Amino acid sequence: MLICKYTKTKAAAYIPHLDVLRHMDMILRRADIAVQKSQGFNPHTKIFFGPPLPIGVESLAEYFVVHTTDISQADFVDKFNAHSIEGLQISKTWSVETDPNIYPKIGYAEYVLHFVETSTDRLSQIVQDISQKKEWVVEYKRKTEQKTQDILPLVKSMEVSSENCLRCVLSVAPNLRAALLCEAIGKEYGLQKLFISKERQFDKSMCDIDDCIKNNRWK
Amino acid sequence: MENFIKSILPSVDKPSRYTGGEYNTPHIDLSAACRFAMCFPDIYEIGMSNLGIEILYGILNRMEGVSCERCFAPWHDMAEQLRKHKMPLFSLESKTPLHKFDMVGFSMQYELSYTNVLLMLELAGISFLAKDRKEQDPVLIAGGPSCVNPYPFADFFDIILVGDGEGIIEDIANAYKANKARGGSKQDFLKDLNRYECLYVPSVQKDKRVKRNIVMDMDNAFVETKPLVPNIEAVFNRAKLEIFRGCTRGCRYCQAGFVYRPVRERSVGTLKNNATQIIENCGFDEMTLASLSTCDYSHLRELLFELKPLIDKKQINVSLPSTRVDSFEAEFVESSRKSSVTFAPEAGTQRLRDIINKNVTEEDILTSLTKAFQKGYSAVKLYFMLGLPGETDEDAEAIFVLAQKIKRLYKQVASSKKALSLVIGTTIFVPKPFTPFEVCALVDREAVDKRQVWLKQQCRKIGVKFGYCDYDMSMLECIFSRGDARLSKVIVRAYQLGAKFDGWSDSFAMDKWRQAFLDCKVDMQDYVGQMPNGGWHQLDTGIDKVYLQEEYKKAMEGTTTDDCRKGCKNCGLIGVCYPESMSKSKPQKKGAKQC
Repeated sequence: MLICKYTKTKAAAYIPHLDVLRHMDMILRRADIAVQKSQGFNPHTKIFFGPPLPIGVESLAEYFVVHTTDISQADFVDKFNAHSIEGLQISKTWSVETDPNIYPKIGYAEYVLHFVETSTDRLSQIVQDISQKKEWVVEYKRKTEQKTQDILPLVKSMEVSSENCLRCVLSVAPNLRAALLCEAIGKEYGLQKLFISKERQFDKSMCDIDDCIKNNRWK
Repeated sequence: MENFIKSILPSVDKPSRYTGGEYNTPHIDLSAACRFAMCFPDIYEIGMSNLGIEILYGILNRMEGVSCERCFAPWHDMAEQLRKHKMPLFSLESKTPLHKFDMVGFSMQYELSYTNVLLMLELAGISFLAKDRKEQDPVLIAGGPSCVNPYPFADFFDIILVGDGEGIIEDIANAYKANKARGGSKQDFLKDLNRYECLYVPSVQKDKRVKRNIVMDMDNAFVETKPLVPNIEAVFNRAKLEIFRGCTRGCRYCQAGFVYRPVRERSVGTLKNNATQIIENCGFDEMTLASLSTCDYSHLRELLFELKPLIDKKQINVSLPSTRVDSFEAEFVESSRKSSVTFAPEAGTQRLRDIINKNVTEEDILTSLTKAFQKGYSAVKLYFMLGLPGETDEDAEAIFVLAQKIKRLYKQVASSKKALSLVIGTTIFVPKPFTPFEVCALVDREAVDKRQVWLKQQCRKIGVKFGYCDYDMSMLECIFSRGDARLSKVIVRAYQLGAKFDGWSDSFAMDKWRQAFLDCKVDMQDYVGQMPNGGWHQLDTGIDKVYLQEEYKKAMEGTTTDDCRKGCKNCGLIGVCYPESMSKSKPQKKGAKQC
C-alpha cells in the first residue's frame, strides 16, 4: 500500500473531484500499473482520497492511498507522473502496511491567498488590523440558507508572504474555507482575490502530515 | 495560466471548459508561420466529442510550421465575464485571442449553432461579414457536414470546405505559408485556393460549382492515435475508432447516408493497429466502433477477433452501435452489466417504413427483444420520427401499439425481476438537402402537435416514458438546412436580438427569430413548404439529382430500394465507389464505368 502526496495545480486545479477519480483510473490504465480492485459485481480500483478540494484551489499537499500490487515506489511514481495530466503529479510516497486514514487526523492547512494588485504595506496593515479584532463575524450562503459565523478562532496564523500574497494557517476541523476568508478580506478591505493555493497540511497538534507519516506518528 | 484568466474562472460553471491542459495536448509552436484556431460553435463537452475536429487538429499540429489550437463557444456565464472584463475570446492552449490567429476555422455541424459562430466572432472582436474584415484579420474557414448547403452562412466566411477535410486542410495550410513567404495579400491567398474544386471562396467566385472532397483511401487517411483526453466528462466519453465512412442503406430521410457516400472501409489490420495505440494512449475503459452503420462493416467478426486480446488485456468494453442484441457480434462484446437496448424503427407502420426505406420490420424488433429480455435486459429505448412524408394518424397510433406489444412481451419472457423501462423518443422529421425528401414540405404544426399530444397521453396511461421535441426548433432547422444567401442577414439580426445556443431548449427563443425574419423581410414559409428547386444543387455532392427524384417517386409508391451492396443503384458515384465495397452487378447506366 502506498500513501501518495500529490499536487493539483495549473489546469488540473479546475478539474472537479469526481473527474479526478475518473482520471486516476485512466492514468493507471495508460501507465499499465496494476492495482488491487474491490471484489464484487462492479469492481473498483482500491484508491482512497480525502475530502474534495474546491474547484480552482491549487494544492501542493493532497494525499491518496492506493493498494498497489507488484511495483516499486520509484517505478510507481515515474510511471504515474509520465502518464498523468499536467499539474496532477505525485511529489512523495510512503510505503505502509495499513491505511493510516489520514483525513480525520488533519487539523490545519496552510494556504497562500493571492490578490490582484495590492502591496506589501497594504497587506501588512490588513494583517495588523485583523490581529486586533476580538471577533470577525461573516455572512455566507450555504445552499439556500444564509448563515453567520465568527471566523476569527479558525484563523490560526496570518502573515504577508510576498507582494500580493497572504500566507495563513486555517482550521480544517471545523473547516474554514479559504475562499470564504478571501471573500471576507475582499469585502472588508476592498481586495480582489486572484487564486488560492494550499501548500501544507498539519495534524491537530500542528505537525506536518509528511512528518506524521514518516515518523509513523499515528501508530 | 495567465492571471487575467485565473481571476474570472471562479465565477463560471465548469471552468475546465476554458483551461486546456488536457492529456496528450501537443506542443504548440507559437512562432509557426500558420497559426490556426479550430473553433466549435458549441460547448466544450460537445466539441471535444467531435471526431472531425480531432482529426484536423491532429493533422495540423503534425505539420511543419503550422500550429492548431482549440476554442469552443463559451457558455452564457463565461461570455458575460469576458464582456464584463473586456477580455477577447481566447484559445485553450496558449490563451491567445482569436483575432491574433492567421486562420480561424469553424466546424459547422448543426443548423441551430449558426448564431454561436457570431457569438464567438463578437467575443473575439472579429467582424461578422467577410467583406467587412481587413487585411490583418484572420482568414475564416468553415467545414463540416452543414457545408453541403453553405449558402445561409457563406457571407461570414472567406473559405468553405465541402466534404472530407483530410488532404485539403494540409494544402490550405501550405498555401497560406507559401503566400505569406512571398508576401502575398489575403486576396492573393484566396484566389490561389479557388483552384481547388472542393473549396468555395465566395469573394473570388460566387457561383462556383463546388465539388465535395472525398477521401477514398481510408487506410492511409490520418487517424489521431493520441487523442486529447477531456479534463471534464464529455458527452461522448469513450475512445473512438472510425471503422468506415459512408452508408449503403439508403434510408431516404438520412442526409449523412447520402452525403458521406460511398462506403470507404478501413482494413482490419489498420484498425487493430489504431485501436491498440488509441487505447494505450488515452486510457478510456470503453471504445466505440464508430460509423454510420457499424453492423455493415464487412469484416466485423474478424475485427472483433483481432481486438479480443486487447479488450481482455486492458479490460475495456467495446460498444457496437446499431447491432442486433442477438447477433454473434453483440454477444461477443457483451459485458455482465445489461444496459438498455435501443432501436430506431423511425416509423410506426411497415407502410411508412417502406416509404422512408428503413429496412426494419416489427418482427425483427420483437424477435430481438425476446432474446434481449431472456438475457436479462430490462430497459428499451425506441426512436421514431413524426411528420414523415406520407404519415397519417394511424402511423402514430402504431407506435403506441408497438409499445403495448413490447410491454406484453416483457411480461411473458423477461428473466429480470425489474420492471420494464420503456422510453419512446420522437423527433420531428426535417427534410434535408441531397436526400430524396429534400423537396418535401415540413409537416404542419397542427398535425404533429395532435400526434404528439395523443401519444403523450396514451404512453402516460401505460407507464411508458415519451419524449418529443419542439416544433419551432425543427422548423428553424428546416429553414437553415434548405436556406439560401438571404438568410445570413437573418442570422445576424437574430443574434443582435439575443439568439444564441439555439439548439439548447432553455436558451432557444423563437420570438427573437420571428422578429429577425420580420425585420429582414424574409418569409419563413419560403423554406418550410415544398422546395422543388432548392438552390443547394449548385453544389455537387456527387449524388445525382435525377436519382434523388427517382427515389422520391419510389417512396411515394411505397417501393423500397435495396442496400447498394446488393447491386449498384446508380446514385451518381459510379466510378468513385470502391470495387470491394460494392456489388459485382453491372450498373444500369449506359457507358458508365463499372464500379
